[in-house]
Amino acid sequence: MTFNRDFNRERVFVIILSLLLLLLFVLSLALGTISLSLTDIVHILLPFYPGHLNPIIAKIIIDIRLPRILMAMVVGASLGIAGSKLQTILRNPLASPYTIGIASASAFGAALAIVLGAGIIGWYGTYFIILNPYAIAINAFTFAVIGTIFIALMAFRKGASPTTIILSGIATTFMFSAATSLLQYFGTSEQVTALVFWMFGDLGKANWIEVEITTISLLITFTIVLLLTPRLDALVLGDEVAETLGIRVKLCRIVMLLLASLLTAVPVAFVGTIGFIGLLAPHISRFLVGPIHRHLIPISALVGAELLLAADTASRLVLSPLILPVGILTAFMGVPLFLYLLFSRGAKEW
Amino acid sequence: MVNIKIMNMEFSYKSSSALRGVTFEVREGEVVTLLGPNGAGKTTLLRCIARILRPTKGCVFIDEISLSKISRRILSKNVSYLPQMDETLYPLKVFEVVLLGRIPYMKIKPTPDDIKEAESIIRELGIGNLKNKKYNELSGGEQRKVAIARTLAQNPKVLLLDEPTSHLDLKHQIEIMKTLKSISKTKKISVIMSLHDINLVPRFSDKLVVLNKGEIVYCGDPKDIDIEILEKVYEIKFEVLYNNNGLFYLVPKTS
Repeated sequence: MTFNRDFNRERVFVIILSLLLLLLFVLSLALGTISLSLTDIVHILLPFYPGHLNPIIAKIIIDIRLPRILMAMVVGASLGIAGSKLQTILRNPLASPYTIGIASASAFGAALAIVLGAGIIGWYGTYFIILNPYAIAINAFTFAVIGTIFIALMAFRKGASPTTIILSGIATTFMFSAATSLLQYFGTSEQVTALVFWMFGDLGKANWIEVEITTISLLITFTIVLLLTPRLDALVLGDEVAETLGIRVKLCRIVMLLLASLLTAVPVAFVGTIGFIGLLAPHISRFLVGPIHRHLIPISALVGAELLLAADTASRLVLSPLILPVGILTAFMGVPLFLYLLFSRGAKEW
Repeated sequence: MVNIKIMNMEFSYKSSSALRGVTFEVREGEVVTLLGPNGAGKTTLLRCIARILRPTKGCVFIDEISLSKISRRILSKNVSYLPQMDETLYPLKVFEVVLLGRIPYMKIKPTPDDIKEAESIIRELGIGNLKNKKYNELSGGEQRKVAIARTLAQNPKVLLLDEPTSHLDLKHQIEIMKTLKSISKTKKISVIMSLHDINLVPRFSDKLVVLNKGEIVYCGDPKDIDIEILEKVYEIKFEVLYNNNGLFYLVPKTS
């Protein structure tokens, strides 16, 4: 029976991709400027494992590598899910979490904090930002939310069509990009450097609290999206058919847009803009398990996590001991993979 | 028994009126064809019945229940709709397309009953050989059959079809029409469809509704229609031919 065969196929991919993620996780923990042995890793992951662990190695793993690796997995999964949903609700395979202008809005929020030293509730000096490392993240997140509300309102007024949302996203991108450029123009060279570095996207900024917040956001949105997957499937058949299948298309599209925004805004606020994962992960996942969303969403999460973790590991190894911002690596690794998918024979299949 | 009643329906696109005082009834298991030139209001009428568009006046009743008073989900268990162009954003398999017709009954994923229902409709329509094929790789006729199977998976009382035979060759047109006629009788589904091929109407329809500029100009047995009404609506002259069963064929006069 087709359904059962597909169901099994999806299960097989979940198992294979989970094992691959585990392998990448261990490799990523082990590799770096200082290479760690498997025993060191097992010591940390299994606290009851007999023997003594060097405190320096323990610190490297717990304070530096583990939060970075977990953040890569969570952010990758978030961007993968957000991309899958957006490509469906916007009826556009080129859509990604940044199509709706969230990256630009976040960047403006970050720029405001870096250049003017402004928090969202008032004006602060540079000293405040140094003391409060979350000022940039809070600003970035707040402006991502403002950008999202702007797009949602525009979309709601004009019937929530994919074209309206995309055009509103483009308008938001240009508006916030221009505002960010203005701030850069008046900023000092140190401030501009800090902002440029923030915009690269870097997982090295991640700490445990940020990992926890991003994980909670991912788990909540992932659960809601899974419950709504039949509605996403209905949208694949077109708005008119979806309506006659009992879906309130306009409401569904706005809810999905808000969920995708949340899935993007939280990671971007903490680690900056990381491109290509949200575009590439859904395409690879659709290639593997097809477009039915109850299969596609979990697979997109796994593929997104793997892509970002692989890119981050590479970013630490390519020019070691220099660590490249992962945002640069995702594009370098993503473009050839994307082109391969596009021009391979299998492209017809997805 | 009257299954569906359309009462005094009106609809306007901004300044232009698309439907005016449209009223007719459809009995259980009856096949009704909407005829009329482009812009007559056929698609608008079907969309209003499916509640894709909100009529400015009038209402639709199914078994005496007003459609405007029931939720969209309950409506989708009673009325299914096939648009003129059936599109899928990503290449779904035929079985997946048909199974999506069960969405009104689904919570998160299809139950074994949903799968059984989809399997049974695929068998009934004779498209079992296409089950594992990609929908976008099928011929136009095959796609239309699959789309009809998807609408039937909704288990509707009323089936609305917007030009189900468009872009199809003669063989596929006849196949689709035979299938619809047979389904309407065996499953007691009322079918309302728009067509452009006048000659299919007397062979496969129980009732003909001719629309012109948003108004009904004829409603009744297709065999009884005065050809002059059609000539007036289409603004061309027809040559009328009859076959051995007394059914007419209309051939447009070109000069």
